[in-house]
Amino acid sequence: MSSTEAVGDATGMSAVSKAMRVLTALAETGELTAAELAGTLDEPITTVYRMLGNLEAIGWIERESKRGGSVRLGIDLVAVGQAVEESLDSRQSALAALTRINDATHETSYLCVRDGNRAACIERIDGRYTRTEELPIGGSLPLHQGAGPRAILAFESPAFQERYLGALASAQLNPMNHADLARLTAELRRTRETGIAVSDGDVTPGIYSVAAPVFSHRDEVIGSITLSSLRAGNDDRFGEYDDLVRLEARTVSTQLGHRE
Amino acid sequence: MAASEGTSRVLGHCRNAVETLAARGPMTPAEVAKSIGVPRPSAYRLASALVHAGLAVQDADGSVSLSTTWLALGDSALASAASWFTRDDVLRDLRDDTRLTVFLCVPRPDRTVCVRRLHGRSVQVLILKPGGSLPLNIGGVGRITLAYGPQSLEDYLARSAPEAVTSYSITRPDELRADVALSRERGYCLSDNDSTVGVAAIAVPVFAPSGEFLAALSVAGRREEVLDDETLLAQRLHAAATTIAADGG
Repeated sequence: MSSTEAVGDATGMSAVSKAMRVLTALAETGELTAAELAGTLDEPITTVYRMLGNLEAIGWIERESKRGGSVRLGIDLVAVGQAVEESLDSRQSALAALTRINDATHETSYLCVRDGNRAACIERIDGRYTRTEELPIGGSLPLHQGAGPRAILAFESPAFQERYLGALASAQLNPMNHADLARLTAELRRTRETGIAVSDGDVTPGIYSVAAPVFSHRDEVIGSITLSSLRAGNDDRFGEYDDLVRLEARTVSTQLGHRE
Repeated sequence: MAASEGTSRVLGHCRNAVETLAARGPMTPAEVAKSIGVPRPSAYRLASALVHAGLAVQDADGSVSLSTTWLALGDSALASAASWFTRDDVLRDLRDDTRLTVFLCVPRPDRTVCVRRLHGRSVQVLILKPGGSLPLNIGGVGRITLAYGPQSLEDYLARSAPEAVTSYSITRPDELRADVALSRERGYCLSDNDSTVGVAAIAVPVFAPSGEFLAALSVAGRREEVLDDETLLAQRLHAAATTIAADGG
């Protein structure tokens, strides 16, 4: 009995691992022939045919009926992916990150999501000793004002950014002048390079805020996490704050299926 | 050969475990064992194989849930299920013009599988979502696929017994034959109450320039919204079908 168990164990482990290698190869390339798969996986073609037969039987791959036809992922996998996507609670993941930031620093932390041309705060944990007033829950700011909004804007598509900046420059009321536009453009570029947006008193004097973007599994920016604190006295801790926010935003993105 | 039989059985259990986890959320291996009908030790081995392969994660309390790896697999499967389709803009325009829910579904044996759903402005039709499917006797997309798709009506009837989902569903072979004939005569299918009571839809076939049936395209909404504009909607759908198939297939 125990020897059969051991064989079953090995079969199960390797069958699932091999299946995963086939799925991964197909997910990366879209469609492959059995011969191409054999090359990619470095397995004999006879082994590949057997694996494909088994995977087709459970609906995880589909094959063109003609000989030498291409192999692709099975359509049943779409429903599994949908179920996983629906089970992800991005707000819950973000709230856990805000709580960890608050526990570690006692400062205010909040989650912003884009709402048209503004960023809205939808979760927020107040600091233990101070409460910055810049973004209450339900409040919003234009995407170019403040660290949280700018962390989103910087990672939106180039087309969106161009449209947004164009609208700022040609606004009826207070169009943004050339120098300010250049400064903002440079700042967005810096945010993309460093992974964080910093606002040092530009929304509320005396408030230092640092924010990092949260990404979906489709590599789209879906929000940002901000730590906001009073400027006085804390300056030497800002480097730590930057790292913490970067780390926590990345943790949330990973939980949502984002890969770097 | 014995090893291969073992492999196919293991993979069958594996698929069942994944589907039960997808449907019911995190479970302990013991619960998985009960749900898919395998001995507990097998379920423990299955769980660790899934975790090892990166398809599942195990929490501190021992419960197993599907990993985010499935998001990428699902997206990729969706992309290759309709690799000819690139015109999401046409579906958006169709939705914005008609204010109805738009579905695009591709044929598979005995069913049609949704690859796009764009919610309408008035009512959200929930019976189908990406990855979900309808049998070929149900709804505009199912019935138009039965009329024009790769699987003949007689083959469908030989393989499956059509079931009703509402009291208006078509299930009898002679009724289905008449429905297929009507769809072919009109070039579209009107679905009224047969998938969801209170909901109507109009579906048309999408043909590649080569003549190959690629998909079913439909708009669905409250009955009044659809029935009042039947002819106009059918024309609008035919135009969209031609555009989305122009550079595909």
